[in-house]
Amino acid sequence: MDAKLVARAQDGDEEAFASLAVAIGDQLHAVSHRILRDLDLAEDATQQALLAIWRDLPTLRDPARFEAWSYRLLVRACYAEGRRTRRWAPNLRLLPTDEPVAGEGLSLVHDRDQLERGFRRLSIDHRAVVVLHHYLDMPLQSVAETLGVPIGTVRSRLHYAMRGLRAALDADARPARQEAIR
Amino acid sequence: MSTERETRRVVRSWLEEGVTALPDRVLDAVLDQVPATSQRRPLWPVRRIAEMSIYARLASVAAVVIVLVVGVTVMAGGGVGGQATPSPSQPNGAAATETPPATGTPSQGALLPGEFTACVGRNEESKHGTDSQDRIGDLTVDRTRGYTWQGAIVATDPRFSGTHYYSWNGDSYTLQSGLPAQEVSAEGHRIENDAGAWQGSGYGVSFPDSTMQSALTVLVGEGAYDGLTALMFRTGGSCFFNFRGIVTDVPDTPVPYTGP
Repeated sequence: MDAKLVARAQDGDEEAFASLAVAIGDQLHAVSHRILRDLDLAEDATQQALLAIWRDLPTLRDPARFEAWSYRLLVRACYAEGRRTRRWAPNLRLLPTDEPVAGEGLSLVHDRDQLERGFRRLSIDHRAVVVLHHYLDMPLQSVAETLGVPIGTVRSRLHYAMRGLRAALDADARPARQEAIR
Repeated sequence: MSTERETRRVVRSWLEEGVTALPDRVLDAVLDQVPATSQRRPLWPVRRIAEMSIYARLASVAAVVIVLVVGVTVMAGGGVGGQATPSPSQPNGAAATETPPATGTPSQGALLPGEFTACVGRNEESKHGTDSQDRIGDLTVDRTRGYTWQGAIVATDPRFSGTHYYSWNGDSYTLQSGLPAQEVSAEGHRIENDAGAWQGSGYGVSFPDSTMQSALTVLVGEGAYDGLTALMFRTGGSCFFNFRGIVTDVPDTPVPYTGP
């Protein structure tokens, strides 16, 4: 990201900020959608994050860290959206599905469904780590800096999340596999 | 059973799917709100000189030159406003005899005896601090610790000219909704020169409506300034830091009477 553009936006230049918003808007939205798994919530979170970026930009010390700092505000907006919806969401318990699966292998469609279910069971904290690391390819140290938590916490969250997703894939596949064996 | 590697591969592939473009209407909504959304100005000097625009750098240099010229004029000619007036708390010794008339800069008018103004034209980060985040109930707290800057300080009273060291700790609170809440800070100042030093600290607070109150710093003298105290606070101006202060005896802190 152009540090001069960031510096101009820090000084209140609205045109410079508009250029920044265009440059990072898509990526922020892609991340928020992957964390929240809901298009409307993701749009709200991205909008709130972009406004927070504008509002807090003068507090950013190092313009070179603009992108990482933006992701921090985005994740914070995702937390807020997640909390807002949790207040309204009924306390659902996800039940295992009995969709038929052909053979021993997991179809891509089936994987997708199980991952979606498994991912939605994770907290926003865990989802954020998975998305920043596995979607944005951020090293764990950068994820820790972005989220403002120790790297040990990031490792622990990633381990927990991946174990959950792996369990979702395995557990949801098991009845179908057992059925196939019979 | 899926292997760890296979799970990672499937998860990565799954994450690649999905939207990648922000709808124009969302971007438009953001840009429509920007003019009505004021930016949060921090209590501390965020940007270092290296990150300033060329115009800002020139402005900073110009400010230092103006202060130097005014300082030299004051020292050589007995002051802008006329007769020199002694500081009420001048120490005995070399530093005291070097003390110039406590007169004002053109922008602030004549200063009372003991008053001074000072300018830190630029400063640079001398120690990188840490940033962390945690939560207190529903609040998110961003904690900044240990950043230190240093720069040349030029004052109308040379006892406050030399090297200025500034450190800052701050806590920024964010509400559950994601909106900013208060910001509380503590800062330390130290001014050093060949004759001695001044050191002190203070607090600051800012509110989400952009109301802020920066610290009044109580400086305690060392070396040639031992036994002296000064009160100093930040003012507006073209320097990286503009200070105004007074060398004075600070009364003892009274204990409120609560009855017999």
